[in-house]
Amino acid sequence: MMFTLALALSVAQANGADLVPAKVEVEVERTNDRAIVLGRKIRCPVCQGMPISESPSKSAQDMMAVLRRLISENKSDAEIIDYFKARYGEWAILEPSRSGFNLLVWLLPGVALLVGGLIFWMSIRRRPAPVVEQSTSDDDTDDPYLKALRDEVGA
Amino acid sequence: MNWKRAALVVLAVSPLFIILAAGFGTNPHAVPFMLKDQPAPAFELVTLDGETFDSTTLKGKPTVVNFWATWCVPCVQEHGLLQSAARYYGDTVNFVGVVYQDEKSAAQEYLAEYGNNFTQLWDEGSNAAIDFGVAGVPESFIIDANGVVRYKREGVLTRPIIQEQLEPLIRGGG
Repeated sequence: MMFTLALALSVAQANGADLVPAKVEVEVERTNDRAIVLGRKIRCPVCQGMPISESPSKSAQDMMAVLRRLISENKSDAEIIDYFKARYGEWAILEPSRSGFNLLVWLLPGVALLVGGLIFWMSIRRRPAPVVEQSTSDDDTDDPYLKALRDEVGA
Repeated sequence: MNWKRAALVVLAVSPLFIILAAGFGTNPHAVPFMLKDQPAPAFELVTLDGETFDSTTLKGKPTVVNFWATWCVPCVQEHGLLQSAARYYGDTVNFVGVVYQDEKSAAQEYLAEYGNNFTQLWDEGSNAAIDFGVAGVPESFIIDANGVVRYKREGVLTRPIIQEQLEPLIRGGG
């Protein structure tokens, strides 16, 4: 985008500081960027979970054309998403809205992590401390290594 | 057995099972029928003969809108049934075909060869298809005389479906 902006500005300056072509170029590029960002959120109806901005299918291209038309009509992002949702339902939106049943998608991983962490913590807390076996006898003269050591140091 | 621990595990896992059970009971590729009992989208298209066609002229009679293409094998299978249904119902029902993502010349040649006795429309840019939420062909919509969408069929229409859906609308006038 920066390259296009610079190119458009240089063309405009070369044409006697007439900035109109640059403005048009920048506006087209901005529309394209927004269309691609929005297109990534809308599911291509004839593909396997692919957004319309990335699908080469005619359906997706036609939907991208409609999306660009809505952008040119100054519709907000929410209005554009709602336009496709009204026709294809929540099914067409690749990023589910954070409301109703869809909230589960956003909340369940966190809840699962919390519950898992809690279970892990409880299992650690309840585990009995390892028992260290201690010799009940003071008689350690049976140990040949200890005996050899004592002999060597003269104890 | 530690019943408390078992109950905790069941409690933690059961929501996942409920969600999976609900998910397995539905077709993830099925596009929801958003137009059910809603006013049909208005459209102004051009017929394959080049005449302007306004959807408001359809009001007053039940209408079958069929999206199709020559490259779609099930559409070819459906063609004969739709033509005979249009002949059978005559003036009591509107039949409208909308060519979906095809070459205009291919559709014209196809209809010239296999026959056609109802209006066939050219949907440049798929605007009408998008307004109807079409996700493939053949796809058909049955609209009542007041312009309300009553039924959607993804796939080939059959004689029983046509009869079952259209005849109450013809009898009821709505």
